[in-house]
Amino acid sequence: MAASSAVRHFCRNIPNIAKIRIPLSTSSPLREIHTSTRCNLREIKEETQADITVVEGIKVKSDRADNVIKDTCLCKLELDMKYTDVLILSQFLRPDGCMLPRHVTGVCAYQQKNLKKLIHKAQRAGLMPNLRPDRRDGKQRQGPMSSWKWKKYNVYFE
Amino acid sequence: MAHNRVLQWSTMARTWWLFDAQHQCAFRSASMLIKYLQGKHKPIYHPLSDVGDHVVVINTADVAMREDYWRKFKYFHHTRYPGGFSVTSAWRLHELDPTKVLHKAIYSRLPGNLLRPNMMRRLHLYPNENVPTEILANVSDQIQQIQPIPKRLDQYTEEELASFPKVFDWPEDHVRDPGQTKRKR
Ligand SMILES: [Zn+2]
Repeated sequence: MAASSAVRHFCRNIPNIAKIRIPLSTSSPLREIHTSTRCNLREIKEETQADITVVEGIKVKSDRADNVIKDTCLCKLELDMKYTDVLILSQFLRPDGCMLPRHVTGVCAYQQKNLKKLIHKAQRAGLMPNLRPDRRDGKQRQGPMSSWKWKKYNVYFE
Repeated sequence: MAHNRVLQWSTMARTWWLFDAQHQCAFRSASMLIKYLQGKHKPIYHPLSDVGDHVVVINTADVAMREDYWRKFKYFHHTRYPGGFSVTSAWRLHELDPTKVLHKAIYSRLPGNLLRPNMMRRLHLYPNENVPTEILANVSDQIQQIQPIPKRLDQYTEEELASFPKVFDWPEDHVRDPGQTKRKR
């Protein structure tokens, strides 16, 4: 954001921030603080007009409500998952490639650990190039595989 | 019995096989290919008779290795002079010559007798799909790949991604952020 732009946050009018419940599903607490009740799925939208940026949460309907198999843990489905099942693994990732927390996905601790391993393997094999976290040095990624030494060649996992 | 006659021709003749090494394990495919080079897939096989077939391998630059074997698998060499010992990683050798890893894997798996040089001469390795036409003209059959090539997430269409069953629904108080700001490190 430019220095001239005035950002309007909800927390500015609130006297005591410590009293407000900060929900766990937040990635940055500044955005999620709210005064009214919220019980709907929301989507954050940013609009920039001239030098004013308005950040607002819009109520949306879940796009996957009629396509959910079972609203339970993965154990109940008894899947034999492999690292090549990217259609399942990608459901547990944010658009920036980070894993969703357990209270959002509703899986147990064992499955969360297992998913972490499988997602790491899938990323290492270059199977989810559009859902990769950024490089640490801030450079852009070139292609699905890394270009560094042994990391540029194809790998498979058992 | 024309069929039997053709079977006998194909047994006695040297068949040319084509193998695509794209995303195939170098060591597993080597163990599989030596069967064709020695002629062990023929009923007339004998270790002293030279009945092996030709094998043309394409895309050897895209062979796969398990986990971090590209870094961990080493090739050792000694020139027999003092201080002549050298170690090379698999990825280093593959960078220098993209056909060498498969060549060494097959050479080491063949029996070390006097037939081995001739068997290696019947192995034709190419780093990509650019095979000379006089070699490709002989090919009459192909060897099946041993590992399935995994499909990447960006190779699926939007419809396939949307219609695939979802494992969980978004919780009621969840805030989705499609244009999520990348996490600062
Ligand atoms: Zn579970």
